[in-house]
Amino acid sequence: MKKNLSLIVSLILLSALLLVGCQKEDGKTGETDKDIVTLDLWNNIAAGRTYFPILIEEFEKNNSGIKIKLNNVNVESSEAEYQAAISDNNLPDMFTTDAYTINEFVELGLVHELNDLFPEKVREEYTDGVFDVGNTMVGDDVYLFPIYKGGTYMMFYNKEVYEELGIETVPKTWEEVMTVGKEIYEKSGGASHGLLFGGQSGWLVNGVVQLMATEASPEAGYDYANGEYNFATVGHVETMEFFKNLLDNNALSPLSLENDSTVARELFTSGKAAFLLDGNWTGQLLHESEFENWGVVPLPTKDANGKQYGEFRLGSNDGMYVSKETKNWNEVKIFMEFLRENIYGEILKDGEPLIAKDSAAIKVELPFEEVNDIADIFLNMSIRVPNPIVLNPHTQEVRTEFLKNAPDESIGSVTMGYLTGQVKDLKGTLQKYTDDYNAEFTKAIDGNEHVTKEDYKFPNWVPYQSYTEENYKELNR
Amino acid sequence: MNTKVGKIITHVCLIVIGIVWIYPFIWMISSSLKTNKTYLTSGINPIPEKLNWENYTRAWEVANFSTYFINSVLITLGTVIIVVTLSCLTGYALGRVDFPGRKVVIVCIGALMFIPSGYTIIPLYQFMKFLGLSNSIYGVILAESSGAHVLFILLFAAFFSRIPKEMEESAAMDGCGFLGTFFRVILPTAKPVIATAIIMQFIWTWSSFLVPLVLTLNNPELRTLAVGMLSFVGKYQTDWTGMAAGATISLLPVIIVFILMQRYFIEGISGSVK
Amino acid sequence: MKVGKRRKVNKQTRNRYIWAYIFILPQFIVFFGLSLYPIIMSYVYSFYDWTGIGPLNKFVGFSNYISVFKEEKFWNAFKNTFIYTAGFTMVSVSAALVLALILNNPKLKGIGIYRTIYFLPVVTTTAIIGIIMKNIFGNQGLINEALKIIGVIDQAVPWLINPVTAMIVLIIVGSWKEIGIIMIYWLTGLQMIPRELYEAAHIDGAGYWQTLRHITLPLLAPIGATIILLTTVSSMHVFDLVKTLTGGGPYYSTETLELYIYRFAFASDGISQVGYASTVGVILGLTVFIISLGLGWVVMRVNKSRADAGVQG
Repeated sequence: MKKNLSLIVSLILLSALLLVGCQKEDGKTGETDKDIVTLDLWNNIAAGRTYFPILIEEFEKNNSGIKIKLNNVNVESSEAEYQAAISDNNLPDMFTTDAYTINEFVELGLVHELNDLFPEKVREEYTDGVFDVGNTMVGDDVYLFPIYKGGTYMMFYNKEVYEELGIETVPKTWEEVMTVGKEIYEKSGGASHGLLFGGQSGWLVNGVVQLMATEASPEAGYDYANGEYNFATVGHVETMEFFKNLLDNNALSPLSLENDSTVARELFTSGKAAFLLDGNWTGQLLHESEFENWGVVPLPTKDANGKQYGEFRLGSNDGMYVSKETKNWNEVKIFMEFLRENIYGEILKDGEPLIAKDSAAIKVELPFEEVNDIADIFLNMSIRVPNPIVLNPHTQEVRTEFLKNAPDESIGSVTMGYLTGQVKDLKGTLQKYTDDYNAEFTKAIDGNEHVTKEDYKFPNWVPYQSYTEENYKELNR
Repeated sequence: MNTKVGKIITHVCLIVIGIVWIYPFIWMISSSLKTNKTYLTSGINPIPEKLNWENYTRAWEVANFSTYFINSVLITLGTVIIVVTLSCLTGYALGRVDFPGRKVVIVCIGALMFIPSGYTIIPLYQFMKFLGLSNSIYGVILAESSGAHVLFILLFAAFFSRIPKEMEESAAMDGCGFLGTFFRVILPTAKPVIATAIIMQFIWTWSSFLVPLVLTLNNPELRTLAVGMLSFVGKYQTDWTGMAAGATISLLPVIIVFILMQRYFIEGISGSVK
Repeated sequence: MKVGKRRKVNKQTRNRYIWAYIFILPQFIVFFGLSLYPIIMSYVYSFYDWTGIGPLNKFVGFSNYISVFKEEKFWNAFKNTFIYTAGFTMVSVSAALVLALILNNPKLKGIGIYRTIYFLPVVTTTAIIGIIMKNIFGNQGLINEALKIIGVIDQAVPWLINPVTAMIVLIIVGSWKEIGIIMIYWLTGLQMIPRELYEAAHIDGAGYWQTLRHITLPLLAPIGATIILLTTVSSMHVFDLVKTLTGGGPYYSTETLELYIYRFAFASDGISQVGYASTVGVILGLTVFIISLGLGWVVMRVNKSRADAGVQG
């Protein structure tokens, strides 16, 4: 009523300002109930907009003394919001973000340890590697409440296109992607293409090319044995040339060049392409948009028996932090204990299989059958790799320092530059990128008295194999 | 005869170009009635397969545009009032009174126009926090009103300096003081300039983004339309048609303000520069 | 305007001065109270190595400035900003002039409607326009489909994928958005031209084009110079449109300075460098300042030559 009134009266100049005052006080009176503790929760996980309200409602029903105030942060602007909030110690009690890494948060003393919530016995329910240092832990303490266990990329295919054009093979190798892609283009008279991906989403191209490059060059990206970065491997070059080849032969949709992953997915469901390269969350989103006629396979390999891998790594955005400044640690703990028991089932029910706990142990009804395929593809692809921070925590300082100064290039941007014809000398560009990157890396190491090059070398690393605590011990550092 | 043909040709040209001109808006409005799938694939066809009014309901209710709308109105009104009042007063003093130090003030204001503004929102946020105004609608209004409104001050100053001296003198003769003269005699003549300043400040504040975003961090119910628009965009998912509906909603008030005031608009600028 | 400095100030005049100070005071307080601190701080940041969070304790002197100048992508963005500014200023200022000349005719019916139509893009949020235009210029977007129907092309033109066409599209869309307001500036200038001059020309038997060439355009020169100044300065800060329309692509070929700054101030992956971003901001600010000084000098020259010629506006 007051709001309607204010709309009319606000045309009268100064009275509008007075009304703002009234309105603001209205908002305040609701909160001054003394027995109720209100916890702030900032969420920037898209799917969380669905499951957090459900969980909060259930929690508040059983805990009448605690209220959770959910604030969904816009993904596009979250960096600015967190910068401002951090700059004067105004972080909410609990928050999810990808703006900063766990190490930065801990270094600045902004987040609360969560050891009480994750005793040894509880940790056993989680997937191996979730509680590795650098994932949810720094040193001996847990700081990130794990919700997911990272992610990976895969290839979705549109069964409608398949049926319509009478095509049988779902491609596993690069060669098959090419043949099937050409076939689709010809049979559809140019209306559909084979492959599609959201090329404007830099992180997507980056991730996909990196994964595909590890087949020919397991040292692609970071060479764990020598402790150096390498973006100019045969694997990288071949992968980029493969995409270029697809594009030149109409097996890759030109729509890939100008759209991001959100648009690409819609174009895929409308039949503009038969295959879509995208992340694990795509399954749930396809299901949500009521498109059910799809299947999923791993990224294509060059050889039929080829193997790719990605690092098993949780990012900041795979979990939730608690602010060190929280005044209601006990209430936060009660809520988190509740989440620990209930959040994973809720997410799985939604169709997202990559929860931090072992999904097999959670009995819920899956919304669609491909959930298990996605989980399998992830587990086959993601392995634990050496992390220098485990043996020398100071390497974190080096990392922060050199990431700041590293060249603002990426595999993804070079790939797109090559596809659009901007990058002519592919090998040269990648080599320069690698050299610049390593130069900054070396400079940062030299600038830190606690770190040497040796901290980054893991001679006992075997490609495609999980690197465990035993392997760290073998090194004898 | 020749002029009649010319006139018709002019009209035809203006209408054809005008249609091309506003085609993106037609497209935006038609998108706001489509589904996310047809939005991307319907190509040249602007007509939605059926009218999906639920995009508007979604924007208005789910995306909270009803609240954001009122916030935007209040913040914009508050800012417009403050800015127009301040620059009008300053403009009058500069344009009418040859007080000691006037030249210095004018040079300073001119120089301000080209001083790069801040590239980080952090100091502004800290400062509002220091004043105890972060997370309140007052803080947003004040922050939006900050800065030197060089263009407006100069417009007002130029306009007031052109008012004939006799007007003031006769007012003084009737016993009006400085204030009385200003409010009763001078101000009513400044309507066009005031309208110009209102329109321009209205447009700027209405679409302003970073300031309301950061200053309403802990209080999402204080967000404005421009900030709320972003809630349609996700890293993995974007609701284009909801956004088109939101954009249509937020465009309406500005168009209304412009249509209401456009009569004064051009007059306002030319009245001052003449 | 010149007032005798030593003149004795009587009570009434002093009263006026006091009122003038009181009138200026609120603006003064708002400016120094609210704006100065943030502006100064962004200069201060440019001398620090600072990620945007944590204490401001790594003073690095001019090292940020040195690394900016060594950065290839900075110069690329610098170049792109100039290309955009030049193209945008030329297209929008001239097109707006043509439009203003047509819409200045008071006898033209429906003038208010036309003005509103052409002003409409000005009042729309730029980010939305970027998203709409991205679709319209897309591979299967409106422009390509329309051109195919007319038969001009048979293969879709990759407007936003080719670096040259991407920049052209950016300039066209940017101009389309701003022409409305520039048209208003021109209309202002046109209304300042005394009606008697036209009448005199008419009596002398001058036609429309002759009047335009010998009276209208010369008299518009001073305000034209000012319009070019305003347009140039504002277009050097182009951001929203580039971000939503091309994202700076393909491969940085439309990345402007504001976008470059944004990329460092709010890094989406990696670590933000608010110090470095502020440095680029200061450099952009100084560039704009120098350019406006240059253009301002031209404006003054034009005004002066007009005054010398004895023409009164």
